Amino acid sequence: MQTTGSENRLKRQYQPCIWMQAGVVDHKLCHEDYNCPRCRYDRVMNNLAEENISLKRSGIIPFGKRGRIVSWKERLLARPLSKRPCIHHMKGRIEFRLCHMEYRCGSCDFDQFFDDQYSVHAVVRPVDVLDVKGFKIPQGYYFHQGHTWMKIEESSSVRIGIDDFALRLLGPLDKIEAPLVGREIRQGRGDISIARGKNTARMLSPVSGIVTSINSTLREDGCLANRNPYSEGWVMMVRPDSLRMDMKNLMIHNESSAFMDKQVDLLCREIEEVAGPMTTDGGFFGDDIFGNMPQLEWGRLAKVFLRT
Amino acid sequence: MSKCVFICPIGIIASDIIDRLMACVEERCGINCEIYPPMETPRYAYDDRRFQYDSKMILKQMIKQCPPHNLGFMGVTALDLFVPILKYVYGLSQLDGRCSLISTYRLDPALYGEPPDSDLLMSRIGKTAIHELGHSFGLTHCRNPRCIMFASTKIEHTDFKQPTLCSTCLEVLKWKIKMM
Ligand SMILES: [Zn+2]
Ligand SMILES: [Zn+2]
Repeated sequence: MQTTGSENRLKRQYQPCIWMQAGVVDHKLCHEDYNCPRCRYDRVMNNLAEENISLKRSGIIPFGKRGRIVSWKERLLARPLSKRPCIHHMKGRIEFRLCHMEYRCGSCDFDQFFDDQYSVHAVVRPVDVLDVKGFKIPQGYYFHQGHTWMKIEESSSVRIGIDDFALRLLGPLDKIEAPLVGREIRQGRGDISIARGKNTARMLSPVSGIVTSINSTLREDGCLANRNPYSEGWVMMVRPDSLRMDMKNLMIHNESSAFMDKQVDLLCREIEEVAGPMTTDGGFFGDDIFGNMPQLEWGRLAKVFLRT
Repeated sequence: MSKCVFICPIGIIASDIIDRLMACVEERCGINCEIYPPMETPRYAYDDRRFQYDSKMILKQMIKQCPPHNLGFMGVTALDLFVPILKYVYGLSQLDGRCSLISTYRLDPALYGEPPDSDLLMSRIGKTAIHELGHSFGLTHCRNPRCIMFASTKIEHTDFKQPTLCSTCLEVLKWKIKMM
């Protein structure tokens, strides 16, 4: 299985948010790969829309920019039937198709069919995901100390990618390049190259073998990996030549969560080194640590965490 | 007048929360608290992509307005705060400085879908406030998860902490006060 959800998708440089496509807001790009239930912005917008409805019900006319917010469904339903795109088209997964169901996806046969078909071709999303101080570690994935992962798939091949920690540490990447199909990779060698603006770094291969397929989307849109590090953001498929040996140097289950835990502590120490003792108390690290604290220095982060 | 900690409401916040917080700090730390004229909602610190308020910008403003002769100047707000590298913050302070800021937003059981519980809310607010005062007196984070100086990254950490300093942190604090 070497097709991916991202390849099924129509290629688009930008992914406009559903709220923007419906015309409720002027400009908003999607950073959640159209996983609306997971999206905070979607939640806030829905709440605002509901608030406005209840204000109107009680006879108050909400004003200003905020007062004009209605749900994206309501806005699209105001259009004539022939101008109502299916939600799967808006998410860039299919060619144009009309919605005949007034956006009641729950009772739409096409939606059911589409979801089934889509999941066959899509990379299986990890089900059991551990949370280590806010960083994700899915079960069944093997981790290399240089923050790459490997997952054994059917027909004696493995899938390789970059972990959530490295991607959030270095922030949205412009480009991720794997060696070409047919090339050889070696465990612990810097075979993967990543770039963000003028900053570049290499990442270590978790196993040795021959590259059989690469995720070419990452050449133009490295950010896909930031959005889905363990599924659509995979980097390459490899036919390993000494998997049993290689696995001895990889971590799984408790080992990988203990390792990640220590890496987060190490990151806190690195931050204290450049910014003084942390006296902020609160949540987990956000999605772009380097971008928000460039004094951490790209080169140093690569050396300490990517080991390159 | 003996030195006290000034508590400054920022934006809209229930007055009984402020009253109960002052009583809690007075009782637990033996420090007098006085209320300071409230500050308006800090619109300058609002980030419309995150729907949150930049806590460092608010703290900077507080440092500018910090009244002289006090033991601490603590802002208390119900707004959701963040710093750029973290998803949210419960509080922050100047290390060895007098200014600090706490938010009640993520301490409210309602945010976690739990029934309203003002005692639990106040216990969390009290712990967060004393933790930040600890920083103001120069204490750094403690590795003991029961100590009030343990860094909370999620609400369970705050609930697990005791409302007091561990013996090590207490010794450090005594030493710091002697040096002051
Ligand atoms: Zn702290
Ligand atoms: Zn302690």
